Amino acid sequence: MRLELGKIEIKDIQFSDRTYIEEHILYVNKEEVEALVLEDDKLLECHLDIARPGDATRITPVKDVIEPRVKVSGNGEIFPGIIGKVSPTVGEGRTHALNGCCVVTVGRIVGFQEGVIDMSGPAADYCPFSKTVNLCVVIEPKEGLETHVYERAGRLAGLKVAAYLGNAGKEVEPDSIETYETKPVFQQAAEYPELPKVGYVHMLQSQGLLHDTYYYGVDAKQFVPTFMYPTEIMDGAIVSGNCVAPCDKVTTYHHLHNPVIDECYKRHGKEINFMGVILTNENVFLADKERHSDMVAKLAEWMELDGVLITEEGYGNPDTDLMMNCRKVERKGTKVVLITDEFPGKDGKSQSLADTCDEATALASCGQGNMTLQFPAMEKVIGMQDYIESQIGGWAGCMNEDGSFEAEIQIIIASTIANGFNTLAARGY
Amino acid sequence: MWEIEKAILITNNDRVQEKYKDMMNVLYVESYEEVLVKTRDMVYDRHVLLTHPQASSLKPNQTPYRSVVIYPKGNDDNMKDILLIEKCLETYYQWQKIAPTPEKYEDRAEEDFKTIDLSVIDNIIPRIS
Repeated sequence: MRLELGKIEIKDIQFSDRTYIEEHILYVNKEEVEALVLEDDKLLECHLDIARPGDATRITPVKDVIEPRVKVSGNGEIFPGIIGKVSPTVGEGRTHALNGCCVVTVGRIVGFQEGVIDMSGPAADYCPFSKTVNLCVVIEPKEGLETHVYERAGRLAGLKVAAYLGNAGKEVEPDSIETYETKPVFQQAAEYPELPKVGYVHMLQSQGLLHDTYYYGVDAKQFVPTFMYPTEIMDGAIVSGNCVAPCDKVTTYHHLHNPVIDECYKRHGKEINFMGVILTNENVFLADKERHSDMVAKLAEWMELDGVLITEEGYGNPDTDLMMNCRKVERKGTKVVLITDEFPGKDGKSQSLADTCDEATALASCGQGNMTLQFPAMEKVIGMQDYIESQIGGWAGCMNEDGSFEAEIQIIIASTIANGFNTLAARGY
Repeated sequence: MWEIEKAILITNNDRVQEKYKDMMNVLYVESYEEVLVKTRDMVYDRHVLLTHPQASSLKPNQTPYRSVVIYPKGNDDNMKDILLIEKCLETYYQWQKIAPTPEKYEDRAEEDFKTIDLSVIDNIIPRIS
């Protein structure tokens, strides 16, 4: 499966009477986007705002972040099974991405689980979306909606807007084009027989209501582990639908820009033979954990992998899946490197993970979420600061009257994201 | 493989208790800590865990609500379950040292914590029924 990913560099977003791209500026028809969002009768209000890097702006509570993309050629449509048709599968042909801009959905869903993006100041160093131009879609639900109904409406709103904006890039000549290719398993193994065969075990958050991820529109807790071509993921075959802690939330943007896949492709054919993705989940039912980690190990063995990288999303329950996958894959003779973040307390002295196993001998840390930081007051807040004290990382009394506060970096969207997208690291000496 | 009549639901979430009390054996306790302690005691007394005691990825000093489903172990070995619940208790106390769970949240947050905990149980009950 071969995908050309064309990147159109976007340097600014401006409102206009129609939606188009010119000279690296994305012009957006505000009324059209708001009407698109309000097609959903679960949503009462929607307003748009633009946040640029360097602005004295805080965005909170953030639900999801999405990069606009569009299929230009090849099978399928972007975000298949949700916005696009479920069949045929995606991942080949050509896709255009609006690089440097994002759609950010904002609004209280589960207030304490949505985080903060600061466009400037000390917290901006910890957040990738402080460096992108963001079209913020602030939504307000109808009164009395069940939380999960509102979550779905918010999720769909963000994806719809991203697909709509992506469409503006369909006819635009990209600034750069990168080509990614993974072949069917036997062909891929034969292509670089001298290089170690490496796979990626990608664990999706799937613990229940408000803690789910979607694969071709299917709730991830309902599938059994399967194989994916990495390019399918670049076309939006996986989207975020969850409200986990902000710091290690894998937003839809991070699925599109999975750093493990990026790095494996960079080394593909040179240092490693990147064989593809084993997709699995993080269920609550212990029998699922046992069954699915068995299947992950079986797939790794079947692909004759020499090594795998494993990433997780979340803390606690998923640490058990992480360790089960590690133990069982290692016992099949495949080397494992784990990638995750840590919660060892403010002083860094407590145990970092909620579960461990003897086979977990190689781990890349993405930083620790308990570190605290001073967040200065901002001139502008997109959304509301009502939930800072109850958001994860905040505490009663952490907020000052002027809008400044102290909190753990857990409160920042994707600050310690457990797939290595950020640059935080804990090093052992 | 499982019979709902034999499963035991340990919870401090009144919405979970209310929804499942007529369907299965529900042990209602007062706090998150008591849910873990009761679960540990039951696991030592010939039960296995059916659900992970840290479900939902909410930090153990964040959510005040917890529900766990256990099952009689029969002839199975339950050493893994003992190790897991002990680890969960250790992690719980570790997080309480970092910062104790707030004693009171505003009503909407309370309800959201209960909703998330309930959803975890809602998702697994059909699997054992």
